Amino acid sequence: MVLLAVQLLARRTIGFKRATDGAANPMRGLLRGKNPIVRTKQYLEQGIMLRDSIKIMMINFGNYESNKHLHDGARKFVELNFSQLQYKNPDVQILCMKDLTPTPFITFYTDDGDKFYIDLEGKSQIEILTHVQKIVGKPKELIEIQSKAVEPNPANFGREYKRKCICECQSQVECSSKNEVIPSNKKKNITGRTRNMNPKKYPFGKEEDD
Amino acid sequence: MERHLFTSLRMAIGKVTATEVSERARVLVQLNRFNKHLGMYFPENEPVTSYNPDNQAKVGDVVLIKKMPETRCNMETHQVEEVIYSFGFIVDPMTGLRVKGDEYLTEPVVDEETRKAMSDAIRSREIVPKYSFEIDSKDKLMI
Repeated sequence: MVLLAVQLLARRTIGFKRATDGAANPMRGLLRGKNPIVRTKQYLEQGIMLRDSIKIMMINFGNYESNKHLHDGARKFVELNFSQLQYKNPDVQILCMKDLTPTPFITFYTDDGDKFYIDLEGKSQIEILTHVQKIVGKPKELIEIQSKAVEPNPANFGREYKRKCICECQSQVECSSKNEVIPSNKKKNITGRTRNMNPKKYPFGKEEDD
Repeated sequence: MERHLFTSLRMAIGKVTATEVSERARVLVQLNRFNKHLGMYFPENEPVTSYNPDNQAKVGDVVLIKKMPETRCNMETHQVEEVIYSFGFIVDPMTGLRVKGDEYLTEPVVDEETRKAMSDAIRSREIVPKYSFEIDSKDKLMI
């Protein structure tokens, strides 16, 4: 019977075709897509942090036939670095406007009402990144100062802190989850089996040997 | 996405979709939502009713919006500040010229005097609609 069940299972799986089999897909079992590295967490945390005063970022680029080589850098910048920017700045509205103007550029809108542009015509992807980091990116020292200023209160205890339970604090009762709630020498009275059912036969109580 | 994320925005850029009532514009705003299982961002749209002073924005414009301190007429939370790209007359801010598809136009198509005269002639014949709660179903044939 066991052999028959195994043969039945083998016949059912032979009919299904696996999408990752074959010589066309040597990377079997890994992430799918054109650029799957963009979806990993390690890559997303390496994005540029913008300054606090910027609220809106608008990228203008296109897919024209005549001047395609001028938009190459901007297209790669949006393909590989768009999700990085949005992950590090969740409060900023980032837009993409396609096929409006023949030249690519970026506009930034600040909190005070000012706006300024960055030209992207003919630049490569890495030149754009260094230019954006220089003008609009947050410096390293500011990030360290802002992350150090917030320290947790050492008197707190709980799931996120060092001391998990109140029993670990000084001068508190021991943990009730570890010790017995009912000590073992008092368990007989709770079950109720020490009641003398036959007082005529055992007038002085029943002993353990009887 | 929840509506309070859109109505609590201090500044935003959107596209005008409707101007049925005078001095009011319906603006479509786009924000991105993160899907943690796939690791990608997907866009989501939501309309925001905004105050349109002097009817400066028309359907199809790209517009900047700012939050007002008090709601007006119980519906309008934001105010139209400026028009960035007007529909049918796109100007490239880097060069200052008008855009037509792939190329730039160096000379204007129509003189400014004739353009102003044409828009003034049409404005006298416009019909100003009432507020939505004032319109009766019986008056539809008149409008």
